[in-house]
Amino acid sequence: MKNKTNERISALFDGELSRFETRRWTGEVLEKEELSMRINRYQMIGDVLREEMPAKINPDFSKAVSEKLVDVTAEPYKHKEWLKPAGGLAVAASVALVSLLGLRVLTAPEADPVAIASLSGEAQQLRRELPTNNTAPVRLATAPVVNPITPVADSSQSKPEPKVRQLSSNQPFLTNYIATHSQYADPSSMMSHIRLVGYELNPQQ
Amino acid sequence: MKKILLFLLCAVVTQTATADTEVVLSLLKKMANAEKTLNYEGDLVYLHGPKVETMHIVHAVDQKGERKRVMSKSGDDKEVVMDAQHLFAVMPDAGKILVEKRRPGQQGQVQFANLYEANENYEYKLQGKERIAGKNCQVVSIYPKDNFRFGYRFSIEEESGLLLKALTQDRAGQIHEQMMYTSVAFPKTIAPEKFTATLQKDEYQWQESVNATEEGVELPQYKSVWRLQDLPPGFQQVESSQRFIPGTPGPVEHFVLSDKLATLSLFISKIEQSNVPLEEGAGRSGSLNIYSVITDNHHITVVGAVPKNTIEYIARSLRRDP
Repeated sequence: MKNKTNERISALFDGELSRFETRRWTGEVLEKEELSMRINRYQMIGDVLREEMPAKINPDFSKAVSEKLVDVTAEPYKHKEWLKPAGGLAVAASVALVSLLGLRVLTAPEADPVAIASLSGEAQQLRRELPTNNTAPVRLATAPVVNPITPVADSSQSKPEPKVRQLSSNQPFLTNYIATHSQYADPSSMMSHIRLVGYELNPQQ
Repeated sequence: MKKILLFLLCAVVTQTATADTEVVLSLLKKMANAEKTLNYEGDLVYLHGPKVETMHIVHAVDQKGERKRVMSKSGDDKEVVMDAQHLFAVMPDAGKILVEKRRPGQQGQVQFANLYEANENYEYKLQGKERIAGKNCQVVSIYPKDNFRFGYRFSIEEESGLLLKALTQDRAGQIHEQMMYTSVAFPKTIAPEKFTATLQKDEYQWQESVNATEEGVELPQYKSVWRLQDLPPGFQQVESSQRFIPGTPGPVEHFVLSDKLATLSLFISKIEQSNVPLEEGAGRSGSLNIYSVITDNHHITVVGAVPKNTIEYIARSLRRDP
């Protein structure tokens, strides 16, 4: 039963359920908190399989998000799509570089995500297929910084960041502020209204 | 020879990037137009942090103008109803209905986001196609060039231009929220009763936020003494007004800032006017970050779908003229 449910969650986010199945099943499943948590995990797994996520994944998704918010500027710019137009040249270069360095990065147990992200798709595929050993990670190359500027958190990296308290939901005006702000929000007005309906301050698992 | 190859490589990359940008901008324009002009109805899944919710959305444009209703189908009961003049947010758990007058000329479109021109703070990429809710979609990505803003990945229905899947992520690749339709239809007409709020009750308290500046309400000696010093790159203040916001006894100053894609709000409220203990700290809901700080006897709150550090940076860049 559990396996069947897991398969359906996976199929939902991979777009493999029929419209009828989707409609019938989402209503029934999403009421259940435990299954909701599982959907989060499956969505993340799907993203990884489709190479939409960085190589370094924290299995505790919500914790990882909050950690990344604090540590966001520690991660250099590393979207790999810019490499695509270079096509075969980039692939050849990556493979050659990988060969030269004796596959040290590819076989590292906790390889540097920046280095991994800078590899071509084929090189990353190679990395997944190779057995791991204890070789220390080596940074191959970093993706170019398109518009290098000082990020927000850089200035605070040298000194410990003061602990920021969490706002409590008993600030009665906060929802009013969110409602006012929804009138101005970002690229999609639909998303700003969805956010307003889904608004919950610091939701807990 | 190496130099020539490098030059050719750069030329190919630049040309492809420019072509991508043009197509993505055209799709974003189509998306913005579809959101405000089409009749559509569907169910969607919204993931934010540890929460997963299902919602129903219905939108129509007819002789009565633009109307929309978004209603939660799982978790806490909540709904947002929008007509040509107002936006109502029904919050049963708080026992209140928040009322916002719609901005003149807004008609569902975002006021300060410019989806028609390339934004220098982002990179635009076409990402192939996928099927969402049985519809063929073109996937586009908008990458932030720095850590001051989030990036977006939109799946836009090819025929109608409606946004059927959206993902907000930071520059490190962490996803902060996702929305995906599980079913969608484009009916020619939609019954008016579908836009009636079903959760509202007589005992709920109505709380209307009034923009005093737009309404021409005379406020004694209003002259802002606040200014923003040293904003993050690309952001600028695009509006300032005074509002009467329920929950805050006195007028609240409201600044709107934008990098022409992401928009955030800054609220300034005098402390002695408040009858509730005001807090300092941070909070979030999906990609929406909130940060409050007390400065010069005023409570400052910044809200926006931008990284936490950007919100905090802006809150702390506020200065009061002597």
